Amino acid sequence: MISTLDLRPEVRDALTEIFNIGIGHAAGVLSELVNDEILLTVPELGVTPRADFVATAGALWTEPASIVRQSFQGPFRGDALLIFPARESLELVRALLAEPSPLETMSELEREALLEVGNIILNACLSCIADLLEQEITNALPLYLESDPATLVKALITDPDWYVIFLRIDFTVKRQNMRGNILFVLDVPAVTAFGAAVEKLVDHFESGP
Amino acid sequence: MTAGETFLIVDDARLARKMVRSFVAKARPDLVIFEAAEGEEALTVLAGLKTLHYATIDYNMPGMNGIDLAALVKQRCPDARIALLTANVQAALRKRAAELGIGFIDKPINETKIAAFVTQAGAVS
Repeated sequence: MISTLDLRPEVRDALTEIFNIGIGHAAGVLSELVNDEILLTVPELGVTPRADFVATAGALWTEPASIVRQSFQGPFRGDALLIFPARESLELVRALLAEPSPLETMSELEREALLEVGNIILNACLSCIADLLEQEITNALPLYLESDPATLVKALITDPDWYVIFLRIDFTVKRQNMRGNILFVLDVPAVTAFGAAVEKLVDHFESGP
Repeated sequence: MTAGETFLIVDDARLARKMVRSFVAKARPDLVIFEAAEGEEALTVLAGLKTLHYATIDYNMPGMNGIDLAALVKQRCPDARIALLTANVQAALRKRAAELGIGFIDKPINETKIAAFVTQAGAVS
């Protein structure tokens, strides 16, 4: 279990709602792609300092994973990662492409499909954050990687002051249940700006009528 | 717009409830607002009301989903103006809402969307 910052319940609630909105919009786009209903939820969210995350990351993923990485810039910079266990990512793209394949490894077409899924999901979440902050976030092209996620995360977060926003997502595509993770690795100005914006949002509506 | 009309907000996210409450209070200060965090609680609130005039209902909630709850609310208060308020913007869900005869408002919520819901006459779109 990863230790997370002791957020005010109202702030944790607001963060989960923001990411649920992003994920909900992504589900809308994906559902158009596959012409079927997709269920997507964010049952778990945490914000963790780099050192705590790295110390426990190894226990999170015990097998190789398919990873889509999207770096972003703007008022702050960071990396967004979508991580699926390798087996589940195969099932996901095959559900999306509706083309059964006997191969145990991903074809080029399947990699491209997963990259597009990652692009849609990560962009939807980043757009929600950008709108909340009333700022523009620009994205680099997404990258597809097959790697041990814990090693990748350790390599990515070299600055000890950075933070990780960790989400577990559960989703159902064509009646298949799957589970993945989304990570936002943020520098200190990002976490400060994002945290302040969420606090402001919460306080504004908490003090309302 | 009769004084004492009621508005029920059903959403498991506290922030979403507060936002809807704030926008409703601004657009229609005459409305009496109730909140519930999930379906069963909403039905308990409803049982204590003489009648319900408006409701916004989230879709993804613990326990009952928003469509199932909306069907029950509609059964008990057929004249209430109800909208599914959700970030789940899939066509399948919009269709289900339309089949049930309720509106659909996509998140994130804002003042304009809520003002339209509580002030415009006619069917909700």
